[in-house]
Amino acid sequence: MSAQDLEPVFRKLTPPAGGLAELRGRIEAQRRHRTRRFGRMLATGTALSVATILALVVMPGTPAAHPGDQMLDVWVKRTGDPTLLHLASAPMPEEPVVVRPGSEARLAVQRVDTGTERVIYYRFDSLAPPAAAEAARDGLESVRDAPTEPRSPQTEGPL
Amino acid sequence: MKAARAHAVDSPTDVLDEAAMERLYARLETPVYNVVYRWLWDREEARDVVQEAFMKLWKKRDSVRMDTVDPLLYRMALNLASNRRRYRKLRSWLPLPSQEVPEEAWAGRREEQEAVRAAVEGLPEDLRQVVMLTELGGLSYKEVAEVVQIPEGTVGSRRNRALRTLRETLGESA
Repeated sequence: MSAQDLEPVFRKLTPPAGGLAELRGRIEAQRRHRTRRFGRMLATGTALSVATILALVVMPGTPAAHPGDQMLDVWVKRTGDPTLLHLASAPMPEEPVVVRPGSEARLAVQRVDTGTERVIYYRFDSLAPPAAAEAARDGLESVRDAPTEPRSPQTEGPL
Repeated sequence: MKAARAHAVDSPTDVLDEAAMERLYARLETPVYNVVYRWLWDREEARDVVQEAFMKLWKKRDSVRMDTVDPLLYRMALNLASNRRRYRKLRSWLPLPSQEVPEEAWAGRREEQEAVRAAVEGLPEDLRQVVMLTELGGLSYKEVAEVVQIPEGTVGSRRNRALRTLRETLGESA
């Protein structure tokens, strides 16, 4: 079926002039827009990087948790021993605890098994009143049963 | 009836670069404009839609296959034109000032233009798409099938029905 007799319906109309120039302009505008957007993204990225680096360098870092703390917590929770809990939460002494020869009468040392070979805790208890030691020597009271104040855990190896 | 197809001339490199885009525009501006004009009946809007369709194509240039670029462009243009028609219909419900512009494009009598427009508008959209793409776009049945997403065999029957309806309508109005 031919459409020749319908010429008015399919008459070719000429588009308005300047279409190609307008298309070129649109393509160029889009290119400029993309370049500007890329520039903005680059600037934002750089600013964020600089801010992050500055924050890391300038801001004081939070103190790292002692690596052993987590393990100790787990272990204390597992045993449920209140003495150990107390020891675990006691502050570290400013000076290391030194056990001198002949000081046995003033210290009670207990090795605490942690369940792992690489970590051993020693519990140091000092005899609170010197009189208690005297009394113990006199056989009135056992050294081990004397009221004590826990001092601190020590992890520096066997005595 | 069919416009000469020149894909090979259009795309020696099979890449839609700026030069290929300009060649494509030179070849397809008029047929696409004519198809879109029969959707919008407005020179400026039809021109805008043609530009937008080419820009849409340009933005998708990395995924465009040059051997199917014609149907793709027509589909984009028809979608844009349909959207404008819908928007126009919506505008007509709102109390906004009319944007109708005096029509100067038609190289014929005013009555003839009105009769043609009424006849084309009277076609169901599926018939109108097919007949405009074949007669004004110069697309093959295969390409029209690709644009309208129908079987190739349906294109011919729809075209014949559309032509018959147009003849009857225009014969009555003459």
